[in-house]
Amino acid sequence: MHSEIFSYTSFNETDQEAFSFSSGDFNPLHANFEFARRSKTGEVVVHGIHVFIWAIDSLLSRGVLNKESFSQTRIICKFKKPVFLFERITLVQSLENENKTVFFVTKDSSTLVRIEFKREANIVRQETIKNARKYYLGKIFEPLSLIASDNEQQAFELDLRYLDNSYLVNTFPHLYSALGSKTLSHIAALSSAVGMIAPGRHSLFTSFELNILSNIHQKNAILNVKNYHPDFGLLKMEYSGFGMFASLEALALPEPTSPPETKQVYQLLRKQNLRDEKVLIIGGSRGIGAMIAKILSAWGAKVFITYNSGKADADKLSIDANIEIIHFDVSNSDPKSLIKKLPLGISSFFYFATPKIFFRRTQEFHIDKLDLFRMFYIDMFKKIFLELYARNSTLKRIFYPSSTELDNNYTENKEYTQAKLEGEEMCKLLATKINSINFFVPRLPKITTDQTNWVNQNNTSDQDILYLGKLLEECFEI
Amino acid sequence: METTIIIDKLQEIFDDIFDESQPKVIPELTAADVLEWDSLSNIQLIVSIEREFGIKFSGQEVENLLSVGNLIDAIQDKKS
Repeated sequence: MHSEIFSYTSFNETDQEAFSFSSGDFNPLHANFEFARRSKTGEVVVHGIHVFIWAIDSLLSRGVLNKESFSQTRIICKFKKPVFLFERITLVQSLENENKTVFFVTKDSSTLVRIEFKREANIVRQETIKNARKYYLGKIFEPLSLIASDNEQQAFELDLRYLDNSYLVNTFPHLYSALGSKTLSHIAALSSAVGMIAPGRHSLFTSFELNILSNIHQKNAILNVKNYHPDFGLLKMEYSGFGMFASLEALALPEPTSPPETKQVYQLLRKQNLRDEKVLIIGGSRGIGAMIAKILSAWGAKVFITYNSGKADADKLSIDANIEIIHFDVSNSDPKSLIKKLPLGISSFFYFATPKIFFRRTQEFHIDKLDLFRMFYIDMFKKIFLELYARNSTLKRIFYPSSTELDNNYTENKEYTQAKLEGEEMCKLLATKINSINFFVPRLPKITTDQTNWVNQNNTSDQDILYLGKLLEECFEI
Repeated sequence: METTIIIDKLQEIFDDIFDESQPKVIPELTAADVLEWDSLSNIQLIVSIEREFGIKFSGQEVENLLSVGNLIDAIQDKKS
């Protein structure tokens, strides 16, 4: 479908840092791995505006665009999928007619960013803004985290005097030459408007429409929040800066979810006595693994969880619920070393290890993705299980969860589905060979976790706890 | 509200949100058929539908609205 390739690039940590100082956008999603892993994207993401500026500069450098391309033109940019650090992205042109030209930033067959140059007159109605809150970009490193009702009908005046635009000027000389350094800085600062201000900390920049207007000479940018949808967190904003005007759309994302409080477990679930149980949960520092760890601990079981990168989450569980934590990287550690760290007498083994499931949906079936899922869900499960079984004659139950997504024809992730189906078959086979162990292989419905929570819900819902409680009673036959 | 009117309005919304694939809106069309129809674009889709038809959906309802058929039923239900 894409016709002509113009350029390739990738972004590294140094580029990210330089862009942060040029734009004022220090949102931790662009630099902090711990923060990013609890976000929707699951890993550190390149600033969307950074990618946009690179794309336009590349097109100017190749003569595809020129200075006149910006006049009487609306530039509509949609951030379809995140761009991750170090990945090689491609800039291509796909669609052109007399009214519009569309460029795409792609990775493999996925469109990450869509940039449309639409030739029509700019219609900009600038409002006079009163009582705008002043915000000094480049001087503040912590993003705001506004609650929903705070966002609506607010205005901010963005002072750019503390930004260092040398990176922009040196790295994107063609765009600098076409628009000038002030307009370039004000475009870069769009990133801060979303990532630092509204919605700020937990945000996703989804699209913007840019109009280059040589008659606007305002020194400070004005960000005006026009509309906020409280249920789904969608914000519409307007931004006017030096030589430009933009309308922006962004999502305010929910804060990361927390596992249930022990008192919440006591309030909702029947009290159970699992004092004789020693439970190992692989991948228990967050998500459903952490929820189950909390419930079992509240019921008196001695719980051991493994974590890989989520030490802070694991530490919190250890303090809050007296859960033992062990560092273990499923993709790169020896199961023997893990089993040696555990006491004898493990009775239950819960397996929540997973690679990052956030993959871009593509039409094609990727065998490398399948191999990765197989390594986690089959090979490593089997290795850990066999080590555990060899040393613990007490082992009586295995909890190997998958998702109700396996029941549906519709799945965003075909490779995940296939690997989990194979994993279920493996459990069935093991169950026929080892009669002393009960293999519990449930398909879980959607439970609110960091990756599934698109609407505002910060803590584990009562409904989820009741569901998991019932499931665990069934698993432990209590 | 007549199904054909709903489909016409949905087509405009789909053309804007799924601007790459531009799928033809028919009741049988599901998220599985449209590569761009993921969790994020579903929120944009639902918000656009809310605005266009003057209705409201809850977070829980949205999770089940992954086909044009379901969308039409939900719109008709809320408009009746």
